[in-house]
Amino acid sequence: MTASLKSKLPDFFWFLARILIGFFFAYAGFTKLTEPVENFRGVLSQYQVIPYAFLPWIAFTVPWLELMAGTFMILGYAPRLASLATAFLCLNFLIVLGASDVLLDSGSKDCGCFGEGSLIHLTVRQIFVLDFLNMLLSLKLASLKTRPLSLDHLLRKKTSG
Amino acid sequence: MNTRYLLTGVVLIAALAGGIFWLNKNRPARPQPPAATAGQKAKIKGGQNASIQIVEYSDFQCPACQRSAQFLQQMMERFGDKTSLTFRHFPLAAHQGSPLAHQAAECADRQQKFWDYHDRLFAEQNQWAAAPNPSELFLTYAKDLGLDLDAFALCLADPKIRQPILSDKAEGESAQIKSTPTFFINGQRAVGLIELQKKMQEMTGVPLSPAPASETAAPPSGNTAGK
Repeated sequence: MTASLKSKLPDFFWFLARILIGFFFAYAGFTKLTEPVENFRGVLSQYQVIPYAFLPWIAFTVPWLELMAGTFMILGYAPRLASLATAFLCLNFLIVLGASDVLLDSGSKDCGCFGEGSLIHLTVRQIFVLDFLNMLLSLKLASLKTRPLSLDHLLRKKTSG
Repeated sequence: MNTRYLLTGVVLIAALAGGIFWLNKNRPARPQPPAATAGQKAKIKGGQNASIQIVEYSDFQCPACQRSAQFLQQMMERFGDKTSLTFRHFPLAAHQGSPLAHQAAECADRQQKFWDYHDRLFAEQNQWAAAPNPSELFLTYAKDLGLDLDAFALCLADPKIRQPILSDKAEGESAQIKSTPTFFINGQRAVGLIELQKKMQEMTGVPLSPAPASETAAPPSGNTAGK
């Protein structure tokens, strides 16, 4: 393996991480937004952590945040902001999962994270681990100085050129 | 950050929002809670002109549906003819014993004992759901309820009995029902027992004590339609 190829490996890894996390969030948001909002509200209510008065607002807002942050991640637009947004969402999901009895009582059941009609179904325990990993990766992505193959890179190059 | 950068962001957000609104707008109109599926008799109990009309999509093997059935029973007793309940079949793919249980309930309906059989199936859910072959248990319940056993057994073996069940499920799917129990209370959708309790509380104005946490902590979408 040549030295130049070796030096590009980390860039490729972070590019892949950005795309995967972006897809993960964009898909989660998309599936929820194309279902009746009550389906997601029903899932949230069963965790019994969030005060009921906030549920309608959260059930409406979170899918949009997921879709926007995920799409921005994939395209590499405002990547730092998008990475911080996905890290923030992951942190909140971890808090909700950690504070509810669901992780212990029903850890092997579907988390409902991708909307109930989704093709992807992850258990509560799987999503807990995945959210933790996604949060760490998102924080690292937010700290990167260069972001190859991104809209951000392209727009900045055009501006400086 | 320059204007071109900001403008790109605005265009992206507008495209995403527009795409979602367009998709939702062009989706086939969701049917309102059913009057009755064509050609079949609705399973309704309660007042004919009830001010609170509940349509429930339920699965006999789903634990959350069992808890909801208990709550609904209490509501029906408390509010009498002010409420009506319509049952719709929604057996989930993940529940192996469910299709036969729904068939058994349909067969009981042929002998005007649907609600008694419904209550029995939920009461004995742990027993028949764990049985490798629950048919015998279903026959026992039928016998206990005084049903004509020969007719019941014939009905249970008849593939035509699946039709109203499949029809209910298809109707539920077209209304984007993905998990059980899902309710339509005077046309308003509520997913799960907690949402049902809150909606009922809003409509009746009576504080309804929620079921104990251990009972209501159904797995989030643990009872989802297997796709």
